[in-house]
Amino acid sequence: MNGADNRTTLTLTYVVLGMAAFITLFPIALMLLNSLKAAPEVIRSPLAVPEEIRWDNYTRAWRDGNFSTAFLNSAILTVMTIILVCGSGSMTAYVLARKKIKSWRLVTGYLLATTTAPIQLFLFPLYFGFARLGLIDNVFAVSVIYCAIFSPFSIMLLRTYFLAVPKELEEAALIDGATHWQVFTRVMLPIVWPGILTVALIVGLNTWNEFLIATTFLQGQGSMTAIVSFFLFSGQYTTDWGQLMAGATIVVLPVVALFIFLQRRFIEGMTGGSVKG
Amino acid sequence: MASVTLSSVSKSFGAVKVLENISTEIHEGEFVVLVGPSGCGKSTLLRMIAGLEDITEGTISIAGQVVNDTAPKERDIAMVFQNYALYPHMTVAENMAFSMTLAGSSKAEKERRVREAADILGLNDLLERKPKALSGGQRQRVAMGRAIVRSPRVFLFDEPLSNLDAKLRVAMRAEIRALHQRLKSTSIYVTHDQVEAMTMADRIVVLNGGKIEQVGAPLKLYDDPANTFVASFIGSPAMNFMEAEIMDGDGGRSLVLQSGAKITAPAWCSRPSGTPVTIGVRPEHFLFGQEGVEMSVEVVEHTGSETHIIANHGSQKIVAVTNQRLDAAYGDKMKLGFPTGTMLLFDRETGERIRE
Amino acid sequence: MHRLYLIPTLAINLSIILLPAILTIALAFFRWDGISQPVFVGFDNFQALAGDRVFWRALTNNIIWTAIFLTIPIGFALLVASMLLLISRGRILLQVIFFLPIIIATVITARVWQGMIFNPVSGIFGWLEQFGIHLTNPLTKTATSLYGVAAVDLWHWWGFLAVIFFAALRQVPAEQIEAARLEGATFFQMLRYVLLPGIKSTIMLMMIMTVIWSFLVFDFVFIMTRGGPAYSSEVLSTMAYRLAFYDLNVGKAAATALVISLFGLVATFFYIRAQAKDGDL
Ligand SMILES: Nc1ncnc2c1ncn2[C@@H]1O[C@H](COP(=O)(O)OP(=O)(O)OP(=O)(O)O)[C@@H](O)[C@H]1O
Ligand SMILES: [Mg+2]
Repeated sequence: MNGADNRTTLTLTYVVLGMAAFITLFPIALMLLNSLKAAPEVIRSPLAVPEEIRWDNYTRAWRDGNFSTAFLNSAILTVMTIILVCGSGSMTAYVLARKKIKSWRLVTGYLLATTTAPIQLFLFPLYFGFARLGLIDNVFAVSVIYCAIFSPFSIMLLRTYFLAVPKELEEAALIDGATHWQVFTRVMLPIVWPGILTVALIVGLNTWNEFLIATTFLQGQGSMTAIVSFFLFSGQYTTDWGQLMAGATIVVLPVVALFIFLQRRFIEGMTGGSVKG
Repeated sequence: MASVTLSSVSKSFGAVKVLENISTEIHEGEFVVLVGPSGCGKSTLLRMIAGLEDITEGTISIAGQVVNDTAPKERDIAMVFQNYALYPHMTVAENMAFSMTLAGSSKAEKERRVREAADILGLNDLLERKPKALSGGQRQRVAMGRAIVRSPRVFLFDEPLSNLDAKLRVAMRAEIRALHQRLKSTSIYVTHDQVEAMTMADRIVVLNGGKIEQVGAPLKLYDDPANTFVASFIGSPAMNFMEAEIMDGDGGRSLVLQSGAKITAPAWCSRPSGTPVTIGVRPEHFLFGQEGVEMSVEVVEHTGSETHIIANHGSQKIVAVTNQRLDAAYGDKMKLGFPTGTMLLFDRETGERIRE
Repeated sequence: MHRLYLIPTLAINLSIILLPAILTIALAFFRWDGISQPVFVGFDNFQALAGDRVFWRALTNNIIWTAIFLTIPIGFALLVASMLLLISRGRILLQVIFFLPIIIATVITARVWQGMIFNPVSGIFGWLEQFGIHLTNPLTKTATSLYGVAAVDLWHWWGFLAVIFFAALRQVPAEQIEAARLEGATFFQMLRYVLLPGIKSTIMLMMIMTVIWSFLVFDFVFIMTRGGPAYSSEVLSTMAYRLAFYDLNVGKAAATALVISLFGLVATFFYIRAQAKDGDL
């Protein structure tokens, strides 16, 4: 439906939408604005334009937040998780979408159930188990946890992409002499590639932003993620809000930049599973 | 090139039996069309030959070797699918060469074979395109090309033309036929379109409800159908059927229609008086003249070369075709003579032909 | 053959989720500090919970939270989503804006709100003081702390819902909308009789998810108040976390986790049923 019934409705609509947009952008704008101010200036007025632009807030935040190490950790963790989820998830999604095994119903039901499992249900034994195995502060071990947590929904999403591929393509490939594995890797994977990219993006975002697991399993100075590092650093320097907002901006910037760049794929991927026709 | 032999092949999906006791042989180099109404099991049978479905009972042999447990890729067959099943992420050339890529053929060899097939099908200008950038007819050609490149022992086609528009379908029909003349490879072609079957086949296998109704050359099926199903399925407009009873009278044997009208029975008809039968008459076999059964004209259609007349005799609808240009209008009375020589009789109970 | 494809997913899932989940169920019946030998105590942990005022506070807070999130964001998101349908310009831009909060990490959102809005010194609340408007930081008072946290989560959450609802609304068949138009329906009649019924299943699904997530809520509470002051904003998941890692009472934490899961389970049942109806199962 395009166009409103009349002018008043349309005006009202734009007013409400404009206000909603303002509410949404306001805190983000405050973050950006104050990240450029000295601490006393923030206190004088959070809304004022900076008298002097303080880029050094950023350098100090980068240093105090230990972001060189933390960003590297976050990056490794994110990439590892993406590889694990996409690798294992695409195989499972393929098998479930194509009902290649008799127990596909059981496995699908189980995975759906774990999509909604509360982290606390498995967190405590997992933590003490990891502690015993010496896996605390181990970025790779944590990426396996993320893989377990993010896999179910990724599989459900990937499944829809596999379902959209005509069965005849697989059959044609089988006749062309492909093994089952080749059917999967040389025909199916390239076709569902957009789905895998979407999943990679969402899993990457969730991993980068994740708080509960990261703060529990990665507390050591050398293994912290950017999020955990910011969390601890923002707990210590609560007087210098300028520097703190600079730190916040540093952490969100890569995510927001990527989002603006690939918003279509983000939005489709994150809303896709929820919209039921 | 090879023969394909089906012996007592059956197929069940769970408790549902979709094919029952199918036995037939497709000879080397032959073009055989499997035809039948939707859901009769044609695709299933073809997919069993391809190795895409398990065989529940019986055996399928290619070139004398039982292939029941042979994987599709080892059967040395090629299949053209209804939706073409082109790999969307590969170019036309890559699509056609995929089987050779998998087999590890050299680049030069692949190029040579793809070029050969592309020459035959006129695909040379399209080799670098992706399937998305092709028209339906072009995709169809690529699917054929993919099969040709492999030079398989047997070609399988599953309704390859049904997604094309009518005109293209007619053109491709002739093209596939010409291709077969040239390559002389054993081909099994599935369709539900009897015109396709008639025009393309060396021999037709008519399937219905999971069983073979009749196997034979197109004209043989047309002239000499084994039962009412084949008689009605083959030919367009379809054969006319009328219920009648055999009766002996003063003037010899006759067939009495339900309206009471009498027709002279064929001389060979030796069933006893009183036998209920179904008369089958091809539309073009009716005799237009002074003699015959009176009909009331319903619709007259002129195709230019022919006149189709749809008429009623009591509650019975009759379709007659003639190459004369007849002038008739709704409600006109007209007499149609029944051709004793070409008239067919069927057992009313079983639908089987009553023969001499 | 294809069974092998499931091995990585299942191996990871079973060892990270299922096995520890089973251990959690077992641990709920033990007293354990995470280090020494666990001692079997039967239903003691559950009894302790039943007698624990903080537990009841947390449970009540979870229920309040659920009630808030079942109404305010869903209502507002539906309004905004249908308004997006009404306009022809700026849809994409507005969608991107509304989506922004959900992709910003919870820690960042929490700190921005704490420092730039609620803070009486550096935030908007402090700035308004100049104009004689007194607003106290809601996070520091027991009566308002939960709502303060909820406000931040609402900001974080509603836009995502709006985008989902908008996507669903756009899938309502155009003929239905056209037909309603031809019959002279006003926008609100259209909403009531065509659009909302058309996306009923999406709304249902989001409500089920809201219930599930409301019992899992952790990040914002933990980051902004740690359940305080005086447990006034405590929810079950922060309580369980505190019990396990600060009080080293892992048994009681496990028992709390089971309570959370119980609520989740009911909602999960409906969730799976909703999914199964759409032919996923
Ligand atoms: N995988 C399957 N599981 C259960 N039943 C099936 C399966 N595949 C086919 N059938 C059934 O087997 C019967 C024959 O199907 P088949 O596809 O062979 O028909 P067809 O003759 O090719 O029909 P069409 O002309 O419509 O393509 C149909 O009744 C169909 O419903
Ligand atoms: Mg078929």
